[in-house]
Amino acid sequence: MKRNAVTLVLVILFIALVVFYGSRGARGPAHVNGGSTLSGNIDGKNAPDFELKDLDGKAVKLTDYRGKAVLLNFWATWCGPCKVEMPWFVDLQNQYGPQGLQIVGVAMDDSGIDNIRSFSKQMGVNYPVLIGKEAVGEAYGGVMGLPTTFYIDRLGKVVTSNAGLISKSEIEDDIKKALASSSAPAGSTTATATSNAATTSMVHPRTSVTGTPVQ
Amino acid sequence: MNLRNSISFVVVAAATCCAQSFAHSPDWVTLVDAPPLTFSSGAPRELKSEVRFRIKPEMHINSHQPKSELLIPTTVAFNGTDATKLHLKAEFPVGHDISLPFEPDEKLNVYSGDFAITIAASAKGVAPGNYSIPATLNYQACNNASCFPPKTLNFEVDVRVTR
Repeated sequence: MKRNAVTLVLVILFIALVVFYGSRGARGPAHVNGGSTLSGNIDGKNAPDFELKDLDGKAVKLTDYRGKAVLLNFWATWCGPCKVEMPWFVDLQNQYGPQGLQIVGVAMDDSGIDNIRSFSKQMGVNYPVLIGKEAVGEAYGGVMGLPTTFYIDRLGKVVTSNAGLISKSEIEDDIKKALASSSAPAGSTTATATSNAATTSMVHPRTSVTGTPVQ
Repeated sequence: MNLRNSISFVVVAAATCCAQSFAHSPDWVTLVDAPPLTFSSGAPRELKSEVRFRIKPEMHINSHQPKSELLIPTTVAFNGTDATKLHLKAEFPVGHDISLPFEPDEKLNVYSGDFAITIAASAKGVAPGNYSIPATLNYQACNNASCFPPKTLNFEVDVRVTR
């Protein structure tokens, strides 16, 4: 009888552990319900570096934009909410570009570069669009739903992030946070990158500001 | 293994399976029912069966004919040579138009809630037997604020030929 009781307790403990860790895995670092802010494991940490091709086939790294505040937007041509945001991003790039904002789109669909280029042109996109890879989404905590947007300060740290469509004014507020988060002026790329690499470890083991970016 | 141990094993196994499914990206659509097609003596040359699916609340998927070529339509694929022998084909329901809060002027044609796809088969020249045809429902789901990567739901179409 005593042995059965111990077995029962062990089974309950095991189930509790399995359910607990299972639900953690399901949530992951990014909440995907509409409009919620990512509570994220990577907020306040260095944004994982990556190297992706732009629409002209040129390799682009996130660290190429060091010294600027970066709005990193994961999107796809089949994503309706993403399409809504794009004209806002065009306006916001115009408005905040002179203050050091760089919007960067990462297209996560498989529709081919020609479709992505054509769609971007049709939307009047005035910022770089990169061809995304799953590894980059994974490096950012597993981008499950689109749009997902990360706001990165001039030193390369994630200030905040968001999954799902939010209002233009909320996006603008987050841009202001990213611009205000660090005081390094645009153009001081070398100095900031050096200090950053020296002081902070990366979120994802495959990523590093100084090492090989996710490709 | 006594009864109590067996029950413990089942409970643990069920909890483990549940937790593993949590760890993967969600399935936005589930299979409700796939009635078999039975070609018995006197049955018509072609039979149809409604395979029913359920979409998670607050989600929608594009219909088979979405209004934009950029959107990914819902499709069904049948696999294997038996599918060809049985001339399996899918007939899709008409979607319904919705407008989402973020884009009130643009209409989307979608399925939401429960929907049924009609599967038609013909057993002409097919040897008697039980056939289980692997099939996939391909869809792409969104809610009011987010869209999720295209997904595939596997199911089977059972066909019985007795004549």
